[in-house]
Amino acid sequence: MLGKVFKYETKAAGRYLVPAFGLCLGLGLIMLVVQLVAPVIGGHYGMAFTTILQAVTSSLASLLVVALVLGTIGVLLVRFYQAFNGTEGYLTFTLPVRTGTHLWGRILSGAMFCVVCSLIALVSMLLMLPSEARKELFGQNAVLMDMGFGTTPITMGDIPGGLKLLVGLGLLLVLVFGLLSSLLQAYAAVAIGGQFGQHRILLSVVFYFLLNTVESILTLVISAIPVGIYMGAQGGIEALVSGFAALPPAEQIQQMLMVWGGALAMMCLISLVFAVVHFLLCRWLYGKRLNLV
Amino acid sequence: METILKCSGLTKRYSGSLPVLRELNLSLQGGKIAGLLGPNGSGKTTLIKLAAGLLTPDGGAIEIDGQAPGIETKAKVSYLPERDTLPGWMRAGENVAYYADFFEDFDRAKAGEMLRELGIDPAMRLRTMSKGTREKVQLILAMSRKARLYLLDEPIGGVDPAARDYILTTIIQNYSEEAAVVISTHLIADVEKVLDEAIFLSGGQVALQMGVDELREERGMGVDAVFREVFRC
Repeated sequence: MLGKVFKYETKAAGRYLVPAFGLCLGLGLIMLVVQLVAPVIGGHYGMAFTTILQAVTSSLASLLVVALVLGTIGVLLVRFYQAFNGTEGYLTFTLPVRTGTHLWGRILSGAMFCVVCSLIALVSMLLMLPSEARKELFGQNAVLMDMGFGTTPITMGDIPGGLKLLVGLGLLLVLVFGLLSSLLQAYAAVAIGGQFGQHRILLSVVFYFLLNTVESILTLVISAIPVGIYMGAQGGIEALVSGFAALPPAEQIQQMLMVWGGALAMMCLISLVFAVVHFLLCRWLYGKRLNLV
Repeated sequence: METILKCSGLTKRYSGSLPVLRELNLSLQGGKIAGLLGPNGSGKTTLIKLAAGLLTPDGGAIEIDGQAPGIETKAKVSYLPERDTLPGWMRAGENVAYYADFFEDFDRAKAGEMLRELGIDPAMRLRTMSKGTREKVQLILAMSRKARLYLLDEPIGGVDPAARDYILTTIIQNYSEEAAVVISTHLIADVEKVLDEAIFLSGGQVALQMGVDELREERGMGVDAVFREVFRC
């Protein structure tokens, strides 16, 4: 049944998202062509033309990516609301499908669209951005981490070859867990909003911000505990900073990657815990306290 | 015949309101078409939603074929809601495929035949259809299943009198002999001719449950007239 729920949900959301993704990629290609042609045309009008054009394409790229991401999230949330809280809910909940399966179908389809959206946004940015900006963001000199307090920032080129894959995998894990958690957080807000008789959409938005604020504070507090313990063990922040600055650059990178890895693992764990809580909450609300209009 | 729908002491209240159903007891056997009749707010739609598994009872029990509402009973219950629930972006033919995908007892050929009979183009999107045509599509989907229990909430409420006859004929022709059909409606005079049993709900309880022929014999008047007498304002 999961496959069927996934298929129909993907079809429903894909009606809006696939053309949007195509449009974004198409615009990216047009911008790339414009950039390639610009120096030829710019030759007649001087450098100012090319500079202005590059500035315009950069701004457009950022705007388009933001619009694409917001649009994708918007479509996924509207679909979830329609299928679970709207009149379509009468059909959804009379199908011989478990509530958990309904939720999983939407989560998997939503996560897939989020990943595709991220890839499309990345490709579109690569296509639209001027080559200098592209190198700055994605090249060997792209800054991955800057701890501040006088240490050298870590760039992509500083990471040893073998570790690059590990860093990539870590980022991917954070992305997947973060996506799941964010989607489920929004779905949980919609599920809570659906418990009310009136102003369901408004209340869903209110509960989204409420959940987001509470969970951000909790994440901050939970993350601060190991950092505090580590700092205490090192003899306080000043001793930690001076000790770190005295290390040779190669060791600094190693230490920073360890800290980074720890932070990523912690973020994954927190995201996973929140995702599970949101899932159980949604399943309970839609399974035991279904309140269709 | 086996008992298909059974309610014992069934109670349901919505938050902050008086109970809509109050310890309701009801039993319905297979092979019968029952009219669920009562004034507004008597609990007809709530009872149907409980049987369809869309609501959870606050007290008592409801059983379909001996099972509490859940994933197993949803596979046996064909529910026609009183409102549009099919996704408007889907074509009529896609809705048929959707039902065929999810319900094992769905007869695709029968649905296609009924669409043809009513002159509904399977390639037409639901949102471009009139309200009456969308209701007909919903009814076709509900009646193309070989279900144990059909729950039809206001199946003829939104269609013209000519279409009502077609719908009632469709119901009679398409339910299997072992199945039970529950029709909730205000248009009693229209459905009376197809009913085997009348269930009058009043204040969340069963005020009367009787065979239609028996009722006519005993009271000397039709179901519609009895309803008007019982629920006179």
